[in-house]
Amino acid sequence: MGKVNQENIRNFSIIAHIDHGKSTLADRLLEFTGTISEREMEEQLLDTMDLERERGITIKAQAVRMAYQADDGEDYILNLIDTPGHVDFSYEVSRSLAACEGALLVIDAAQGIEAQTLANIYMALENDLELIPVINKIDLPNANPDKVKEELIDIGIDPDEAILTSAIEGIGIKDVLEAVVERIPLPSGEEDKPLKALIFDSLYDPYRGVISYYRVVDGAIKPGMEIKMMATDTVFEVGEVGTFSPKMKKAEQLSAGEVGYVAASIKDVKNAQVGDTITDANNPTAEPLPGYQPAKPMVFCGLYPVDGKDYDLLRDALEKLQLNDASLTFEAETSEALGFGYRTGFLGLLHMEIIQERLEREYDLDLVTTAPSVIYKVHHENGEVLMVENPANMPDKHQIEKIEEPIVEAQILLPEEYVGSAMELAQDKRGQFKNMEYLDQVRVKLTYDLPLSEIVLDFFDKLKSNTRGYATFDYEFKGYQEADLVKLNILVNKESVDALSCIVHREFAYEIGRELTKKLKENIPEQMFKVPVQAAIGNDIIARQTIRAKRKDVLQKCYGGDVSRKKKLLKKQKEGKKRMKQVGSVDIPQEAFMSVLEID
Amino acid sequence: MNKFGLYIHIPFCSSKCYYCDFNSVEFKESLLASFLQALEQEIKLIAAKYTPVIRSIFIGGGTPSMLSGQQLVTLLKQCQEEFDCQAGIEITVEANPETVTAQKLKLLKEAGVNRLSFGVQSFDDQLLQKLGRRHTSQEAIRAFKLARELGFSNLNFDLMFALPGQSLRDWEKTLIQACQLGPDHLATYNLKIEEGTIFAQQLQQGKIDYCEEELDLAMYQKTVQLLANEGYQQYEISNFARPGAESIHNQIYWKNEPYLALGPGAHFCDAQGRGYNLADIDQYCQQLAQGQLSWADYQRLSQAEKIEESMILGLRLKEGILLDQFEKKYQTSIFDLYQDELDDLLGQQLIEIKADRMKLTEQGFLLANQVLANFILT
Repeated sequence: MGKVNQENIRNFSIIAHIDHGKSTLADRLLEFTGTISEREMEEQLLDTMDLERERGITIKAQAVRMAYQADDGEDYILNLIDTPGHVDFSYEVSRSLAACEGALLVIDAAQGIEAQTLANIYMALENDLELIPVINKIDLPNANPDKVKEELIDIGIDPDEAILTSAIEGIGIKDVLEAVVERIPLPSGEEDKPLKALIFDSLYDPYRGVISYYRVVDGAIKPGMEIKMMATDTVFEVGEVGTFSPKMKKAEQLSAGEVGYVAASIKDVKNAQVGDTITDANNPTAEPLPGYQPAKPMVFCGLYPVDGKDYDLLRDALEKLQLNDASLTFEAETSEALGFGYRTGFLGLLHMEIIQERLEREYDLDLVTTAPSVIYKVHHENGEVLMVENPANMPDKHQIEKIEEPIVEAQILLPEEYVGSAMELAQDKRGQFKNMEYLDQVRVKLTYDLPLSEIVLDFFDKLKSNTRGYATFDYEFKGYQEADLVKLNILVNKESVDALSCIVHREFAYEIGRELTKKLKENIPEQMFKVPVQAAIGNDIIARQTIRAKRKDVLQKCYGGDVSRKKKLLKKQKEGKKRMKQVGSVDIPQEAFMSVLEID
Repeated sequence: MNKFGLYIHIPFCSSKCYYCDFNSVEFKESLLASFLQALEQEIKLIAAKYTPVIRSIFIGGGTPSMLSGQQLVTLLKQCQEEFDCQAGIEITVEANPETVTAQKLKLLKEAGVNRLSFGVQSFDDQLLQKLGRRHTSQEAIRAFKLARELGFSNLNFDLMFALPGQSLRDWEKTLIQACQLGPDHLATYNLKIEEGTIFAQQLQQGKIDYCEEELDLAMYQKTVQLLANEGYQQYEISNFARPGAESIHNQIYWKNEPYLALGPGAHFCDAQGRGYNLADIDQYCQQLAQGQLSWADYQRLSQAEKIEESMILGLRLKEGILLDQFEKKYQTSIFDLYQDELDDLLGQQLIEIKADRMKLTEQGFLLANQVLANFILT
């Protein structure tokens, strides 16, 4: 492949709400440009992780390079960088956007602009990206492009710029490509300057080590040259560079404006951090690129292998996931009930679920996850101040002088009609009202101080359901505030299970204790003996439920034709047991450790 | 090792009982001729493949007694001609009470049938109706007495408990009625509502309900205790017999010994693996008409699979598993294979190991699934 003229490169991504047709549009662009033939086209090619397809969301950034001859007769290289659609992954979105000059804003012609899209639009505007509105699914009988255009006016986008498409039907695809060429600015870097490339994603290949995805801003990168990772100041020799077509395709070199990958026998994942700048080791640039604001983990939970032997595997797996997910943090911890594991930090609940599922599927680990928690500041009577991120480590109540909890300033953007129910929710969650402001005729901004612990449980899910998905929600850490908090101990079969304990406001302790024991009763299967489940504050039992004993579990009929069927059943029973954690003599399934999330 | 039990499946019934998910169809005269021909062909092919020595024959179904006496006699004769059937082996025929006649029983007796298994299920006419059975309790009593009169000295009743609407007292009455007649063997099963049955439909429509675990348990415990008092020894989870009347054929299954099978959908287990025939009668007949065995599937079993099967089957027997025999058969010791599991289960008193054998405790019998799942290796 020859050198590409920088003027003929366009780098863009696609912003869309879940289900608005982003992946289908991407597929059509790939087909139209002949990047892949229809025959090769596996539906929704860009979503390569199983999990992404099942959930219909994009989790990881992906890139692909397309060749396109525009109506002006010139040949262009179009790099499409995919972005995730869920707020929990806004960090990944910002990474993708930083590597682009423009973005397609895909809006469902029937649904209109949705809450989550707004947050991404703002992010794109912050990154100075050129936005091309695409009104998709115009083939739907209930499509209403005119209404969508009005919504565009509301958020300050010229509706005349909108392109009407139906990705499913292949309508308007060429218009989109022409708009990308015409409207998205060409990359601004200079090839003569020292190499400066931004890593926006990395993956680990067991044979080639870390493979980094980057956007060359200035200079060029080619095999044989020595590169330096600016964050860790480590030097590697480039083995291979190339582009995505969409499979990796070797190239002689990549220069300013281009998007591609590099393999440089990087064994330690820490040396190829997403957001780092790659430069020429022998002719380094003075300043690294700004990189990304690393997202702060807000939610912590314990991750424990069901089988203690998998402890090291779990660490390796977490390290590999961390490679392209800097928001994931972890450190070793020990639980009396669960053994050795890791206290792991996430951006939010969905992030936590996705990581947990990826660990189980991609790394074949059976895990127990404890309920999410935050970091408390505990003032010990001996004057010490402890940072407690695991309720199990909370000192005895008589040793505590006071407890402070993290408070965030939360901003909720929502249509006027939902203000009432959002305020009610915030009140229920111990929120302190700060301000209410009309942004325009219909949009309202609510500001609340909220305890972070209330948010990590299910605040956002509830807010979404209370506002039919229209509220956007953002929060910033504000500080610590004293609160009347107590540790709720949970005893299963008279034994305190540290991994089930939680920290709650005293006023709600009884109610939560009652509800939690009830949920545990539902979530812990009958054992071969009666199992009391109790909630306690200190030594005072405040709630109790009893799980009945399993008294009879036997297949009465088993003759020649029943053997295989019976064996299958027993296998299933054994599998189920394997996914449970034995605490004392009670088998507790994974879900039980999350019971606190199910409390209304 | 070419000794086998032999199971013959007769897939016809006069109608489908509400709980039944067996491979059976409504009896049709038109199917019969080709079915009997297929069986004959299958006997020849199996004889050629295995040259088996037959240790026991069990004709089940379906309702084998839907066939005429002469048809059953012919079938047995074909077996005796083609296979090496040892003298005096146990030959069982399953029969539904309403299909039993004196003439049929006489013919069977002459053909060497020495054990009859009656599908009685209950002596409560109302419950029989709710099960979709075609006979009354009186017909069951009549069939039993007839068989005794004609000299059958080894008779079994199949009985069901944990039925919708059945009380503990109802069940006890059925047991008492059964004992008054005095069969030599009893098999008692709790109702399991299987997918695709009429009961499953009724359950979904809310017309019937599951039996509560506590009641099911009470009924099972009542069975064990009442039958023990009447001189029946429990020798397997669901089977009771007067000393010496334990079913030889069924013990082949539990001791994980080889058996062959004839008829659509029938399962077999030879020394190397397990398999089963095509379930569809037409397909089964067509395949055999072309001179080929009608196997739907056959899987060779690994050593680990054989071992786990020996465990989950053998522990169903009251006498449990003979440790020496296990070691000789598999060249490895149970203790090496299952050390952790055994520690656990012994600690919970669900199994016991005494002298030469390992078996389930009384509690272990009640929770057999929980115990047996521990022995799955694959």
